[in-house]
Amino acid sequence: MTARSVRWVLFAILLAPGCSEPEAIRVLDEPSNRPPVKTIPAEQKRFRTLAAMVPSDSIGEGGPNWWVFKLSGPTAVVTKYEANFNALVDSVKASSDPGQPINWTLPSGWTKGGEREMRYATLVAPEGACEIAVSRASGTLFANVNRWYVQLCGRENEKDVTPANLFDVARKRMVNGRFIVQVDFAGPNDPNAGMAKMPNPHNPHGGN
Amino acid sequence: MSTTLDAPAGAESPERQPARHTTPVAWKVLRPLASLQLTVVLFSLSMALVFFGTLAQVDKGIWTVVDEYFRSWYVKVPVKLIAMFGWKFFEVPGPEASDPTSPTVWTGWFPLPGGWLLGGVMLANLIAAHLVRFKFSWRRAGIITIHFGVILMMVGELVTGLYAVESRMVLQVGEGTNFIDHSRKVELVFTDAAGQSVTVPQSLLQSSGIISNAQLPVDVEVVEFYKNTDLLPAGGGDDLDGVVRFDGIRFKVVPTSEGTGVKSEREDAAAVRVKFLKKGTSEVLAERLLSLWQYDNYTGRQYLCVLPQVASDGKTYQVQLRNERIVKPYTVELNQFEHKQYTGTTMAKDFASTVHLVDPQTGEDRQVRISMNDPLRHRGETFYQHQTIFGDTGTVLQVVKNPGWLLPYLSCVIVAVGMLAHFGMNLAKFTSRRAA
Repeated sequence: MTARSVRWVLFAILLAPGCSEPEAIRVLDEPSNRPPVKTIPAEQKRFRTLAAMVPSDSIGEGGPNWWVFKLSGPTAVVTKYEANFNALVDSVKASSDPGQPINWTLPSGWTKGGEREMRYATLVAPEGACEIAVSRASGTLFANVNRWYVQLCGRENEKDVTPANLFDVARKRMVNGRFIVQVDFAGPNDPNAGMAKMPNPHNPHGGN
Repeated sequence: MSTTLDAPAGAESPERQPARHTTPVAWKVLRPLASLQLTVVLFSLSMALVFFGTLAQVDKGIWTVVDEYFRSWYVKVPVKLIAMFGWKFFEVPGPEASDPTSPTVWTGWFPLPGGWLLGGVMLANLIAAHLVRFKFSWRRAGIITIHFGVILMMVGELVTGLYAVESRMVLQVGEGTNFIDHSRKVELVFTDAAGQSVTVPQSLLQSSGIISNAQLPVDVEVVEFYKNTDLLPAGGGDDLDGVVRFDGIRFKVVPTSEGTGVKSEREDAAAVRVKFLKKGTSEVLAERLLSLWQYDNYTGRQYLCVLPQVASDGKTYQVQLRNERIVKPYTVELNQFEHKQYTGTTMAKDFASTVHLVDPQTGEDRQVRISMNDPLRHRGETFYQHQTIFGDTGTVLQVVKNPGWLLPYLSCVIVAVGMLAHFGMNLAKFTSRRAA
């Protein structure tokens, strides 16, 4: 073994741990690999549900942690009042004040309805065309969103919405410094039919 | 690393001597390097390194210690460790006996060679010893075999240290993916609506100054990088600044010390507070705290949040801190997840994930069931069943790639064979001499 080779071998042994590529800024294409959400044919979209879940500002000790605003009914009616629904949701402010845990601004012409069981409030559209139910809900986001989908599209389609594609059907957005989750479903079944008969295991505090 | 079982230092055989006049420089280098005294010093320093590396895990994470003590050239050992050791095991009172960990008391440090340096010199010492002192003969075959096994073990650690990667693949039922998450590195990522991302590596986030790059939509000023954060229930404030929700309950991300080697219940959740600056200016567009708590794959889809956005040149980018993404040439889709429990209890009996593996380059297209002792192996990576995600709606697979995984096993076998040969030959020699 020559002196040069000895020096090179020792040099390589000592420097080998330093041989690694420096980290750099990368550009990646990251298309979604989630399965697409099933498309409901237009002729079956007879009924529609708009719903918004607003997180409660209370710390929460096992109680309901979501405020739910839900407008559902025949597609034509819901579509007519969609802008009012969105305006109402945009005005919602949750508060940690137990005396007034949530505030909103009623759209023009809307009135507050009478007290109903399992509801925090009922907001009635002009001439009573439809109503927005305000309630409190616990349970996971997925459980609530999937329940509304099944009400419209039937139990046979309960696997269309999965935890994996939840946020392909539910939209997260910021409202007054709080993030809310909003859904817009349409399907062949009337979500309000048989409501009184249908117990809601995920929502013991609210009826929707 | 040389041994006293063979020729003592300076007792080189006449056959080795010719090297002296043909390569005098090499001989001058090799002689001191092959020194037995050097071997003893290296072993002593190694024991000290292991001792202080173990003590250091009292207030540092295991991977921090591995990086600082064992995969480094040198280490600054805090004097505090000795004080804590003395206080804990021998009740030696310090200047502040009530709080021996007080940083105000034990602020000094002393240097120690790191693992890379000690290992490298040990390897050189062993090789030099063979070149200078040891005579190659059948009688010494056992010793040579043992030393070869030891060299292989050290090379194995080198390969593991340099090239092994531990990562995770997180999937919900019905979901497919073509990437894994590095377990120990994070990156800041800007993603546009078309799914194109620009990532800033952790090494840049941990350095000071403004990060500016043509690919980035904005300049990034790192205010502070946190190795670990925790969640605290919080009331009011802005949901965009380091806030996550668990089913509506609001939690604030707060910095905390890293999980230590002696007590750590989860992987550290790194975070970074950054200012987004308009490109080429000092105009601050926003300042945000971003944390792994806001990354779905880290939390097992347990927390909800809205990620901040920045706008530049008419495009909107979502910004997130996430584990470093390693893109793969294959896809894995989770078809089914099983979580079996012992009857009448909540004790886990078995976790299993049935996945669909598709690799267009190798032509593989198969369904595989991964369970706790039955991993999937593909392209040199091993997929172990690791955890379940929130609500049992999916799986977390630990993905390990270690090109040197076989070397420790191989080296142990070689060392065992060498020891059997060495002691067997000595025993045979002893019995034959006794019989004579």
